[in-house]
Amino acid sequence: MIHAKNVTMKFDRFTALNNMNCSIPDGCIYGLVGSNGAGKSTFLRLISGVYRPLEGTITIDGQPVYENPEIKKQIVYVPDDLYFLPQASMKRMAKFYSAIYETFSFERFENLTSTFGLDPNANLNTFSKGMRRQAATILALATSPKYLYFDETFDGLDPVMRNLVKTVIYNDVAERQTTAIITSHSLRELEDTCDQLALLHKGGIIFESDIQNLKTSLFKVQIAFQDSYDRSRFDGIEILDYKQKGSVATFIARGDRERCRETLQATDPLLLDLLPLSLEEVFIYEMEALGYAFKDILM
Amino acid sequence: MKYIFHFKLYVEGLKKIRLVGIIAGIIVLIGNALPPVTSLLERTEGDGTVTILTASDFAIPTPFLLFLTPFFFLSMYSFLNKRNESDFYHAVPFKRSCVLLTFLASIYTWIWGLLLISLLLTGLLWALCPGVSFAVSVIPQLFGVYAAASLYIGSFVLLAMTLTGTVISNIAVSGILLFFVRLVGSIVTVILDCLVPILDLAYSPMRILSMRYYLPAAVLTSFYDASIFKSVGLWVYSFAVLAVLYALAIFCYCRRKSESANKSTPNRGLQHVFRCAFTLPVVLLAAYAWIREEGTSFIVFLLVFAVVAYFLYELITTKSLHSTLRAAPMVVIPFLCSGLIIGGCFLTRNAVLNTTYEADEIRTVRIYSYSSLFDLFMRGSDSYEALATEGVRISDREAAQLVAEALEKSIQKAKGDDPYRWDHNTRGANVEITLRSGKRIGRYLTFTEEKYRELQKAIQSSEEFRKAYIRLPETKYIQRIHATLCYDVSQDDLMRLWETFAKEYGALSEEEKVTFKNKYRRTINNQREDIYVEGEDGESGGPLTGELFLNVRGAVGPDTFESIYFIPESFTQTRALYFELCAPERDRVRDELASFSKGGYDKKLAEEDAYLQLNIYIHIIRNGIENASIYSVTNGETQTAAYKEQKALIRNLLPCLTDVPEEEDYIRLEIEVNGYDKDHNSCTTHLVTFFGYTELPEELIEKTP
Repeated sequence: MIHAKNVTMKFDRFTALNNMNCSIPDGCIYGLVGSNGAGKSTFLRLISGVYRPLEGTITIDGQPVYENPEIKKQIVYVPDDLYFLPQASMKRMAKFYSAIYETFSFERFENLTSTFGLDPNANLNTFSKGMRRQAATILALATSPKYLYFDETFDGLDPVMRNLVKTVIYNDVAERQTTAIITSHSLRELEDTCDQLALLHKGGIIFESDIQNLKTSLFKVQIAFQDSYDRSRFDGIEILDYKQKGSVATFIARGDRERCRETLQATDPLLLDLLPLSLEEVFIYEMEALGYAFKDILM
Repeated sequence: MKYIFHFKLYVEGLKKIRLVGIIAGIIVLIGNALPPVTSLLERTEGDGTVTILTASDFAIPTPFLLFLTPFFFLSMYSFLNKRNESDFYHAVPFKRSCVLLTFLASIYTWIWGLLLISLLLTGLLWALCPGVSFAVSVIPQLFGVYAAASLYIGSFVLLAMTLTGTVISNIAVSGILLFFVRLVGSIVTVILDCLVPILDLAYSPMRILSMRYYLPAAVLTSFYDASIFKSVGLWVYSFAVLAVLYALAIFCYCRRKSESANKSTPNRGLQHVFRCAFTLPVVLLAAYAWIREEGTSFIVFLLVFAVVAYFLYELITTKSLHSTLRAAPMVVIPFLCSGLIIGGCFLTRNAVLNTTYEADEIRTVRIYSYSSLFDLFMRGSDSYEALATEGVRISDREAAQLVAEALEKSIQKAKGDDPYRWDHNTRGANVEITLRSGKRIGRYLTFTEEKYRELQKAIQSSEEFRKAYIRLPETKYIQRIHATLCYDVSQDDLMRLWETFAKEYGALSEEEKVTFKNKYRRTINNQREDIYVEGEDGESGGPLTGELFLNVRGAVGPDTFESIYFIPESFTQTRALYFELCAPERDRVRDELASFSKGGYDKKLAEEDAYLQLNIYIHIIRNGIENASIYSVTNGETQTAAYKEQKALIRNLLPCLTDVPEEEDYIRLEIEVNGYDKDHNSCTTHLVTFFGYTELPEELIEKTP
């Protein structure tokens, strides 16, 4: 488990993380979303041992990460700004990785390279941006680490590739309890991939939840009655956002979906629809409930 | 081990800098191969001469590898200058110290590998050259020296890279670290020299700034004089410095933040320090100009230049105008530092010029050769006696009194309006004064000629001096021996000659030894009396001495010496061995001369040439050291006139030549006969050398100048 406790990180006068607390269990795909400058990359660098926190502690399985080769050899970090050896090909980088990471598998590397359709002998400088991200991902996956960190890596991948990577990660998670942390500034990118999400804003996590739980616990209700009514008719249901136009009311409800349907049907509506929300909508309403204007957090 | 080294990472490190390594290898290997290959091509005809290569000229381009050392570091640790690279290497599962040291091992594998290969290749090529010889020990010697020098230079560059985050600041700070202390020390030395002309800084803590302790300077000047490398102080100091710097570099790297990449320095404080360090030498130069009362415009120019340098450094390293302007308030720092330093120099001046010592306070004195912190070369090629006696501390009271008086007078002069004024009939000397308190100081004192002679006399009559003076160099210090006109005698035989000489010398009493050395010595100041040959046509034939002597060269530690020891009459065994070794064909030559005078050569020459050039060199020795010589030259005169004259001279001379010494005088006779054909092409050359003892014939006495 990755555990960050009261972590603060500053760069000169800029505070990147401010007393942040976070626990990431093993075997999950953890999404970290936030706007530019929220602290996503800083957090990843902290938990990969690149930075040492100014305050607080970061541990993995109870051990500090910084200057701890035993922990670091279980981590592979794929940054936003990728690094490859000058004039290197994927094959050369594979040899480099194999020198650094004991668990690097050339067999897996070749399989993944073939699956992704990349030329392992071509100079990486000739690759497009997306291809370079694929190459970096392949190298990371071929290492078979326990912890995989992707910093906005998927943002440049096409849906097919994203799906492919997702499948590989899922397999690793299932087989080896790999923990993957993926950051992005786009909820849509993470929606299909992660099973846990956290929202980072101004150096702190303001919202964290299981995605499935998020999607099922919040839903939109459209209901209409013949007679006049107001919000009080729906007492007993936790409503986050209520709008009514004429006889039709639309609100966002939190709770057990089926129970809520039963409760509402009991009121004999003319029209009743329970609609799923997109992750973005879920976040919007959750943020508003917390007192944040979502548009101020994510563009 | 996990803190220090990882083999696979080491191999990756080798690959990382292979481009730099290949380029460096090409430069050094080709550079080193050129001289022997050139020599090989030029010497294929074999002219019979043998050149013995010394360490200095064995592998001349090799030091260029030292200039390339920084490039290895800049390439290997370039990841410290780029954010994404820096993050990557900070994320790898190794201790930071392991990454640093493993890559360091990769760098030195390349440098030392290239060094070794180039030296071995050079050795192999030189070994193939006819007429060239070298001691194989030169190879490990040079390897050791250059390997150490590369370690030294590397330590500065590595520390600089751990403290900075851009290429420009890497280079700038490397230069500051490498040269700042020396540069400032040199300027301060010059300032102190100006303010306190009697002070010898070699007796102050500043002696650590002597060029003799500066390994890069030693390497660069080793082309001329490699004896510097025998200095223990050089190596102790150099290894102490590089050990400290590498330790500091490891510490700084382990503390370094990855986000320092692409910043000139990790923090503003360090940037201020480097900026001020960059500017300080210029400010000090301005201060020096002020002390020397140079023109105001020049001083102002230097000050303005200092300010410009200050801001330029900031602008170039940070590439930020805002940062440059922010640095403005700190511009006074180098000026303040300079003020403190100059203040310290003036305090030193006051302390030194207000301190005199009475003779009673002085325990010993010692006169030594001029030593300057800028003087890189060890004292070389002085006589062994000078070397042996210079280290002697004299407790003679008269010497102490003379030194005390000279100290007072020198201080008065230094305080005067013109401390550098040269007065007639005076001479300066470096004097080491050891006080009864145990304190030892060095002063440059001015003596009148008379007082100096008195001092010399007092010193030379002292027991300590005599004991050192009469010593002969031990065999272990001797590197080469030359005997008068002994060209084809091996060093082993000449060493045998020396040992015979030393044995006969050792049998003398102490007083006899002093007399011997005084009679046959050079002066303490190594003044030699050269004897020149004057020809009838006025041309000088160069310095010659006619005595039998042994020229002994060697080194005691880093100090080389060269002494001449004449072989007196009384050293019969030595002389006998000398003639056995150096003139074994004396009888044959004598007969040949006789045949010449009887006309034996006439026929041979008459058959070949249209005219004859006959040169006869006659060296006459009278009363031991004093020499006189004449020679007679015919310059293309007709055969008949000159030839007959010379034949007559020889004929008169020969009866006087005998092996039995009746007088101290003897003659060395060289006859060179050159024949030329009608077209003035040389067709005959014959040189005859003969040693012997003789009475002086009347003809020669008349011709003697």
